[in-house]
Parts: sequence; structure tokens; C-alpha cells
Amino acid sequence: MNRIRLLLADDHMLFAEGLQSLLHDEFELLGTVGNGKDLVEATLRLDPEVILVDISMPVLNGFDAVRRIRKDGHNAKVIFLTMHDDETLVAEAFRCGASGYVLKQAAGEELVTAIREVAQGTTTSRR
Amino acid sequence: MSELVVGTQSHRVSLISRYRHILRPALVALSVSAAYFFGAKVGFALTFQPHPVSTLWPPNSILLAALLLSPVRWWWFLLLAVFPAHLLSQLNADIPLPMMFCWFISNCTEALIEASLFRYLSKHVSLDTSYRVGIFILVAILGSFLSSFLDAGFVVLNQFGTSPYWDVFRMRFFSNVLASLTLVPLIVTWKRGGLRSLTTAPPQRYLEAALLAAGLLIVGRLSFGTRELVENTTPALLYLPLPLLLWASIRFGPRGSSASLLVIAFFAIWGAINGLGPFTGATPEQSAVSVQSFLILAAMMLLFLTAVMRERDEISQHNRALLNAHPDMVFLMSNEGVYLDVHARDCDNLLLHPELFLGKNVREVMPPQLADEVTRCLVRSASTDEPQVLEYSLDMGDEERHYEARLIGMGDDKTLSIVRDVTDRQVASQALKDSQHKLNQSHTHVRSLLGRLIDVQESERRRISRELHDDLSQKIATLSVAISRLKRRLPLSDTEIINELDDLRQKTNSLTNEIRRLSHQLHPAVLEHLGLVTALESYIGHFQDEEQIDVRLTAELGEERVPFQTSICIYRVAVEALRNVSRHSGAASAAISLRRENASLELRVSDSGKGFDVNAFRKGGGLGLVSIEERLRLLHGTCEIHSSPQKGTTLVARVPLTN
Repeated sequence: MNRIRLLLADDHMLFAEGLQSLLHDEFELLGTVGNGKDLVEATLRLDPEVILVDISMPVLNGFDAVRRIRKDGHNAKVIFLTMHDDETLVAEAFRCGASGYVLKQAAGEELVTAIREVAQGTTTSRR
Repeated sequence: MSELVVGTQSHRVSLISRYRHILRPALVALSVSAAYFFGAKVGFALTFQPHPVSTLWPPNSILLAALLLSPVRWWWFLLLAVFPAHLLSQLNADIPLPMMFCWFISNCTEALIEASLFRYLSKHVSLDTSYRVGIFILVAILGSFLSSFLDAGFVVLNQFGTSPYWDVFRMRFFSNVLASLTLVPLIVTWKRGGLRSLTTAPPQRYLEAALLAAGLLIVGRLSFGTRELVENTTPALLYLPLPLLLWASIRFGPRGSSASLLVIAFFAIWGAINGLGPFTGATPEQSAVSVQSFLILAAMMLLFLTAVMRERDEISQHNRALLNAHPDMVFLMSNEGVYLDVHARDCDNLLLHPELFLGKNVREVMPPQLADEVTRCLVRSASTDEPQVLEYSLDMGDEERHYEARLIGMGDDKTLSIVRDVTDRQVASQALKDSQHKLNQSHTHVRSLLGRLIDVQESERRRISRELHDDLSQKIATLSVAISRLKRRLPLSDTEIINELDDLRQKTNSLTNEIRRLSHQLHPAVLEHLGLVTALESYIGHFQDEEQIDVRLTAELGEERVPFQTSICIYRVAVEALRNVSRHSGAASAAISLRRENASLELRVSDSGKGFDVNAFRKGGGLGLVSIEERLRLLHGTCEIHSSPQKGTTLVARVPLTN
């Protein structure tokens, strides 16, 4: 069975590390970047199927990075993985072309399912 | 023993005070009737025989003076009291009883007419102004004139003596006018404080008075009591008493002049009766009329002179008091600039001692530039009624002092210069200016501090908010992820531990939620991620739910990004304004509009509520409003509030958009 190839973008190292061990069990984690600019670059280089991205990041925030990726013509599925639960932000995320929105505190329970659903083509928002 | 004495004394005192209202008028009446009696005796003595009328008839004047000096309610009593004196004085003068009655009536009539008229016209019984003297003379002439018709009529009716009607009229008229003009002033002025002044006068006054009296006696005897001198020097003799009368008038006032005149009057009449002095006419009538005319004119002149002198004294005393009360220096200058006179409370305050500058020109006294200015002011003051004001400083030896001079033209080529030392005032006003400046500075300082405080507060909130949201809550989220991983590793049969882990995970999640809410309250993250309009929409959403106030937002900001500092400022102002709407307006709806206009961002928050008095509110120092204004000031923005009771409120905030 082909493992889904992931790219993780989060500037919070501790959380990223905690997540990595969870993801390694189920998916192929191509890499972890700490800001939006690196994400754009890594996406082009590594061609992931699903991108997990935080909104608040230095240099380029999650929304702007995703817009840039879409502008570059890459169509990896995007799941926003963030601490923000503001509805306007959720709406903005989907407007940018996200397929999923998962709150970090729910990641342990729902992220794995969300990644699978997104990879199969279902849009999902979990919190 | 002593108690008994005290008791008796107090009993006596209370008796006196109980009968005082009867005792005083009784004493007055007694002395008036005594004076009337002796006056009548004197009058008889000064009569040219065989005529029935005296040259100087004192009783009427004594009665008049008594009426003038007593309350009107006593008058009937006084008139009654002099009646026996009148009868007594005429008993052995071989006068028939009806004639006595008639004369009493005519005497009383005269006194009543004159007293009532004078009281009516003058209000105050005294002879110290020329106005009152004029009134008194007119009243005396009119009263004597009217009552003499009656008197002469009575004489003819009673067939007393042989004189025809008009002779009696003329004699009586002159006699009574003379008595009124000489005796009444004497009595009135001496009664009004004259006797008291005798006890307080210094010895040299007594000496002067004695000299005057001696002079009067000698001159009276010489002028009116000799036969030898008359032949050669008749007209000159009349003027001999004049210097003495002037002396009395100038140095001893109304009391001295009236007493002196009386002395002269007695000498003149006595001389004329005895065929001595200058008033020895062909017949007794002629002698009487000429002595009377002379004395009446002298009395009028003297009364006026004394009153005018007194008025002038009062004015100059008044002026002197005014000057002494004044802290200013007063200079009298000619319009050419010569110092004529000076008044200063303390000569040390002057630049020079008066002896050194009086009579000199301002150019010789003052520094050249100041002298020029003074000269110009003098020229101007000569041509206008407006005071010329000149401010200058002078080096007064140890210090520089400031002055303000007011120059007022007095006509007659003279100018009055009133100079005030305004150094203290200037020092005070400079100190006031300085402290005002300092106050302004500290005010500005406080405002800038307040601005920095807002700035620091905002960035600190942002920092803590980020710390909470981006770090702490993520760490807790990491915990939650770790718990989930742990759970996955457990076999599904281990339900008890799985349930406990689920419970633990939910607790960490609710902890995260609380931290996130706290963070959002501190700083709206949406503002940074999605901009001002989205942040406001988000806030309005919560606001509507919580406050049940309908808020409509319209925004025309275009594509260009609003700087973060401006966004947070406008956001905070809008939030504060909406809070005010919910707290104070009572409105059910509000509207917010945001638009770009002339390179500035305009926020408008309006409601349809009850409104308020903006000025009163500002004075009350509403803290919300202050913070709005300070936030805007930091970004060079402005704030207007339009509101009036029952008309709603609109807040307009503008912040310039600079790159």
C-alpha cells in the first residue's frame, strides 16, 4: 500500500516534533519546514500529496504561502493545522484552496483520518 | 453698705432714663424761654425811642434756632413755653395786653415760617455749604417779610405808638432779618459741636481767640463808639472790622465768624443809638436803617465766605486723603516737561529727591530716550482727554524697577502724571507665564507619556497574546497529540486506561480553549492575518450576540493594505465607540463605516440613541474618550464627536495614511 506523502509546515518546533512521531506511524513525511517561504520552495522540490500548514508563521503566513503554491500551479491537497478557531479564518482558509481545517488540539484524534479523507478527495474541517 | 449705694444709684439711673423723654424737652423749653426773655430785654435796650420796634430783636431768632434744632414734635411745646417769657418780658414795658398777644402771634409766625421752610428745603440743619447759606438767607428774608405785614397790622390795629403802617413794617423787617442772620448762625453752629471743641482745643488756639476778641473790642470801640474819629474818617471806619471778621472766618470757621459779627453788631447798634460812630443819621429811623443795612450785608457776606472756605477746605482735605491713600506717585508737569509739583508717600521711591528735580525739565532729569517719550506723551495729552499710558523701566541704584505712567491733560498747559510701580506685578506676571509654560510642557509630557503607555500596552498585549497562543497553547496541543499517540499504542481492550486518557485529553483541550480566548481578548490575531475589516466583522459578530444591538458595517477600503499600527488604532477606537453605544446610548442599532478619503482613513460610528452634552462629557473627563483621543493623536489623527441630547451620537475618527 502506497503511503501518503506529506509535507509539514509549522514554526513551533515542539509541536512539529510531537506530530512527526504520530505521522511517521501512518504516512511518509517528506519533511518539516518552519516558515511559509520554505514551504513554497519545499512543495516545488518534494511534490507532496498533502500539505499540513499552520496559519501563523514567520516570513510568509500560511494563507499567503498556500496562495503562492496555487499560483505556482501546484495542486497538492492542503490541510490547515492551526490553533485559530475563528470562523473568518476558517472561511479564508477554504477560500485559499484548502481541503481541510484541523485544530491542533484535535490533531491526535482527527488528523490521521482527515489526511486520509483529503487524500481521497473529500473536503474536511475538524476541530 | 456698698450694695445699698449701688442699688440707689441704679434706681436713680433708671428713674432718669424712664423720664428722659419728658425731662429733655422740659429742660430745652426752660432754657429757650429764659433765652427768649433775656433776648427780649436786649431787644428793648437796642430800641430807638420812641419807636415801638427794636433795631435788633433777638427773641424771634432764638425761637427760630430752637425750632431748627429740635424735633418737629416738640414745636408746640416750645411755643407754649416761650409764651410766659414773652408776657413777662413785656409786662413793665407799658404795653397793653392785646398788643402783647398780637406780638406773640407775629413772632411765632415768623419763627414757624422760617423753620419749616428751611427744614423743607435743606433737609439737614447746618450752615456749612454755600447752598444752605443761600437757602437760609432767602428764608430769613421771606419769613421776616411775610410776618412783618402781620406785625405792622397788629401795631396799627392796637393803635400802639404813632408810627404809620409802612414805617413799622420797614423797621420790623430790617430788625428781624438782622437778628436772624446774626443770631441763628451763632446758636446753630455753637450748638452743633461748638461747645465740645472748646475743651479739646490746644492752648495756642485760646491765645489766638483771645487776641481776636481783644481786637474786636478795640476796633468795635474805635469804629462805632467814638465821636472824635467820625468827623474825619467816616467811610474808612466801616472797613476797620473787616480784617478781623476775615480772620475769624478763616481761622475759626462759622462759629468764630458768627460770634465776631455779633460783637461788631452790638457795637454798631449801641453806637448808633447813642449817636456815636459812622451811623449817625438825621433821624433815629435813618440811623437804624443804615446800621441795619450795613450789618445785614456784612452778615450775608461773612456767611457765604465762611461756607465757601469750608467747602474748599473739605475738597482739599478730600483730595489730600485721596492722595495719601494712593500708592502711586503723582507729578504735576507743565506741557513743556517741567516738573511743577510732586506727591509720593515715600520720597525714597523717587529717582531723585523732589528738591533736585522740581522746576527742572524732564530732559535734565530722565534718561534721554525716556525723556523723549514723556515729551511726546505730554504733547499728545494736551490735545486729548484720553489718558496717555507709558510703560518704562528705571535703574534705581540697586535694582531695575518697572513703572506705568498715566498722563492726563489738565488744561491750562499742565499735565498730571500718575506713576505706578508695577515691578511686583510684572514679576508676578512673568512668574505666571513661566509656570504656565512649565505646565504646558508637563502637559505635553504627560500626553506623550500616555501615548507611549498606550503603545507599550498594545505591544505588550500583542506579545503576551502571541506567547499564549503561539507557544503555550501549542505546547498543550502537543501534550494532547502525545496523549492520542499513547492511546493508539494501547490495545483496544484496555478500555479503562483509554477512557482515562480521553478524559485527560479533553481537559487539556479545554485548557487550550481558555488560553485561546484570553489571547484573543488581549489581541485580535485576525487583525494581523486578515486585516481590519475582517477583524471588525469578527468583533461585531460577538458584539451583536452579547449586546443585542444591531450593527451595520460598510467598508470601502480598496485593495491597498492598511498599516498595522493604523489598523489596530482604528480597531481599538471602533471597539471603544461600540462599548460606549452599549453602555450609554440605549440605542437598538448602530452603524460603522470605514472609508479611505484624501489619503486618510475615516471611521464613523453612529447610533440613534439618546445622545449627550459633548462639552459636559469632556469636562467630566471620560477615560474612554481620552484613550480614543490619545490613540489617534499618536498617529496624528483627529477625533470629532457630534452629539446632542435626543439626537444620537456620531464619532468620526481620521488617521492619515502615510507610507
